[in-house]
Amino acid sequence: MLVLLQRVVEAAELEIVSVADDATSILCRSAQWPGQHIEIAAASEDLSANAEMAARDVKHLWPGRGEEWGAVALLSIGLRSALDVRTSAPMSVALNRHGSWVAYPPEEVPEKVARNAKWIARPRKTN
Amino acid sequence: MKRTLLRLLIAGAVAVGLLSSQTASNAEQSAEADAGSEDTSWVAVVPEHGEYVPEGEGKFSPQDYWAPCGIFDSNTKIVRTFNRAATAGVTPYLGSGLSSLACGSSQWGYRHIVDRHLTDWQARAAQANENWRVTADYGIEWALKDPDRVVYRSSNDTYCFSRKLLLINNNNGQVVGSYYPNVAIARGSKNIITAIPTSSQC
Repeated sequence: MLVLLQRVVEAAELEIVSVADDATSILCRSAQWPGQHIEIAAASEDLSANAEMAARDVKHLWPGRGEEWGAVALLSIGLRSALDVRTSAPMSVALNRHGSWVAYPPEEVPEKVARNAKWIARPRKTN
Repeated sequence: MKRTLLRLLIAGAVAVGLLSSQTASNAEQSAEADAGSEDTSWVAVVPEHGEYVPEGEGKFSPQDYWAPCGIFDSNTKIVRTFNRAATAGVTPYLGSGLSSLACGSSQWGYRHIVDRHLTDWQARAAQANENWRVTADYGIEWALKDPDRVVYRSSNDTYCFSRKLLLINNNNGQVVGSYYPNVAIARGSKNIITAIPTSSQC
């Protein structure tokens, strides 16, 4: 099972620093926060259950590719997303039984900054 | 006598058929004429659920054209289809086309976004007093159709599209915030795996 977690962490493009003896956690580094160590953890039963569920979706996303490869890819994208939405490095990210990668500590929700504001894509400057 | 009656019945049926087709044809012509005149139409044409909505026709909110995902709906049911730009300068090259947000599962698509990233989108939506679908729809649309950056990740065979969006104060035009919608699509199917609001590009 450790091999699977290690493959997920590598597919998420995280640098592995060390692997715990109990085979359920990996200490790694992300390019977003080079000086910080982040612990990635997953109980073996949760990881295998989620990998099985993810394997069923592979044919809809990468037709013709192997289920095991696709399961690792999907789990790694979930892990990567859990890190990418953050503004600061988490201490740990753990996979729960529902397939969510939960980062700790949680972050503050951004404050509403203006009463009358709108999100826009500003047109690009042209020469 | 019987033969004459039969002939009369057949002739009557043919006449009725011709008349009804004429009426239908007139109705179609009338409808076409109405469609040609902007002032005469009382019927709003709402995009079909999941249908691609061309730029400049965004007068409906995503609640109108995002198809619902019920518990019995297939994970391949299309929620919304987006226009996607070509990945210029990125290897492997991916041409322009369409990418779909399907219902998916807890691992990808609409259900994944609702399960895992709803609070992230709601936080950005709250900054502009919007429904999260409005914010997500706009963010995904711009990231895919005019990205600032596209990255190919060989480790999971995905492209990540990213675009900077600004939060503008309508009262004074000042920029009061920003974020990057990052959208991951599978190279094989071009389907959207996830879309997240982040503070950095892919």
